[in-house]
Amino acid sequence: MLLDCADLSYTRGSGDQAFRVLIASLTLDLGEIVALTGESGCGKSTALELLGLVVRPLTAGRFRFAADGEPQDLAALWQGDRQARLARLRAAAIGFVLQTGGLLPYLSVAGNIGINRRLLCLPARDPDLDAIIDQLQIGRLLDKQPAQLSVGQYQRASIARALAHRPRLVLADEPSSALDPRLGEEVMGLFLHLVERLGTSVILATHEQARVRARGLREVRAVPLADGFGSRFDG
Amino acid sequence: MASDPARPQSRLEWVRLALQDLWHDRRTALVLVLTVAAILAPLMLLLGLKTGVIATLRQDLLNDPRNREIIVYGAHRLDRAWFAAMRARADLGFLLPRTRSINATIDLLDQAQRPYEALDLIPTAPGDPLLPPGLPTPAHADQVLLTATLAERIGVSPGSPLTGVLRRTRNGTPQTARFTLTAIAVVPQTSLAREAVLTHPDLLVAAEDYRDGLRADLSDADLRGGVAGERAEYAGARVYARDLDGVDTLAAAMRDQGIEVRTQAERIATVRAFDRTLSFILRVIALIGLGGCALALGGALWVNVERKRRDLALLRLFGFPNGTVVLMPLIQSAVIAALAFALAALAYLAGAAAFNRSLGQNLAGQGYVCRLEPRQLAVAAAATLLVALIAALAAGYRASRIDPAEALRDI
Repeated sequence: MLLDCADLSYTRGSGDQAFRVLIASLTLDLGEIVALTGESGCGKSTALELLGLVVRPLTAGRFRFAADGEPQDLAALWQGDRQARLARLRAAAIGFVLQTGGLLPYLSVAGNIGINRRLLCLPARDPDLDAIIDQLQIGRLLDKQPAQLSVGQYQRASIARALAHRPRLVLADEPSSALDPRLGEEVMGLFLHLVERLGTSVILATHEQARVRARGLREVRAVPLADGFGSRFDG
Repeated sequence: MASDPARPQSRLEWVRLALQDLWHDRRTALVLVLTVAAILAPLMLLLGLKTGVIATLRQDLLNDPRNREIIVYGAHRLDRAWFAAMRARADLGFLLPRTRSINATIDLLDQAQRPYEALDLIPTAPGDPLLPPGLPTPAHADQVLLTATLAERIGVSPGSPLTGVLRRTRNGTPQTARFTLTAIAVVPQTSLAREAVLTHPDLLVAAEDYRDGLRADLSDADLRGGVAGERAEYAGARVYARDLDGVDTLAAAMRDQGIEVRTQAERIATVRAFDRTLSFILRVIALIGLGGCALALGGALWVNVERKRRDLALLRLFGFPNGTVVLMPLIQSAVIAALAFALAALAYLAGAAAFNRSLGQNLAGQGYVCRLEPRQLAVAAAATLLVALIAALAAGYRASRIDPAEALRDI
């Protein structure tokens, strides 16, 4: 099991505006894909931030992540404020695909794709990465600047960037919703096909429930909290 | 799979990113470089001018040996131990014993036997600061150097014979000693303007002995044969410090011994006061200039961090440690400062060359109008870098507050 968490929560805002996001329980196997679905503003992104070690959980009943095979107790790392260790974990084991703007404007496409590989002292290219670039059809775009790309090209480059260092877990936040439906379908198809082939685990946050069901993905739907203002994910 | 959190991570990738960001935003960077260079270049020129002018003034003082002279007043009893102790001092430049000043005169007769009376007799020796380099010094008591004014009045040139005359009164009877002297060189007016005869110390000692009645006569043979043995005591000395700073210490030491001395301390003090005043003015200007530079650069870097919040948040999201994101504005600032310094140094070199060409002609000798020592350049570079890093601190602090979650939220 790659990821195993329970009672993982975060509260955004304060006072009357406070919105609580609770992951009551969620497990993810190696190579498994799970979709967090729900309306916009239901806390899907916040759930990804929690799972992506980006925000400090308010509560963490259980939070284990087998980044290098052995499950590690992330709740303890957060408790000990081991920020540097968490950043290293993020760099090595997690890839992010954002809705938009996942590339650094001052690096070429190749520079962006290679950023985590360079950080991790991996060789610039290897056959796996060549295959990723090939499959996403961005071989001709490597020398371009992000500003020169179309939205579809940009998103494919972002996916390559997130996968290039072969993280065990990829977190994708509405990766296709900035694209028109036909292009979105195409990019999503490429993405899911690629992660299946690579055996990468994916947590996908999306409001497009129909598309998730059409693809037969395992779905965890946000439901309103029974007590208070917020959402609850239970998978 | 590559994902292994334990594997080492590159420590320098962020430097590469900082430089690439700077290059990507090179127009902004260029404006900052020009801004900083525009502040630095005039400051460096001012510093160069100050250094050049002060160095020239000091060199002028040094070139005039009178400024290094410590004039001994009155008659003293300076023994061999005193001379040995003086010669051992590091601040001593030149030392030569002299007789009582009342005995340090001579009359000369030219070849037409015309008299020139009561001329100052000054002892000299190799290394005499009064003599320009290359001028011969007397090897015997019958060799003299005449100052240019005196040589012109008498009408002699090097190699000409002269007759020296000493007068004394013994038991009410006037007596004279006559002997032949050879003028071996003429001391230029720039070295000594007044009329004087410079000679071997032996001639002064012999003249004093003759006047005091310690010797019966003074003949040509006496002069060539080594007239005087070394004396146990002398009434005075010609004393020169090694450099301007040595004048003070040497004069103070001599005053402590009860010897009345005078120096050109005022002229030296004037240059020093000028140096201090200029340095103070320069410091104030530099402080204001560099302060403004720090604010301008700091403000620009802060705005830059604000503008690039999302990119910095993205780096944090990708797993770059907080420290590296904080250091990015610092290294960018350092690079901007280094480029600006190089540019300012070029502008300085051009300005200094122009100053030295157009104004340098007004200065006598080896004067530079504008110059910077390597040490000053190094200090200026270090100060620039320091200002740049201080300027980047605020931006670095701003960057440290960036939350990686901003990359996910701000769309």
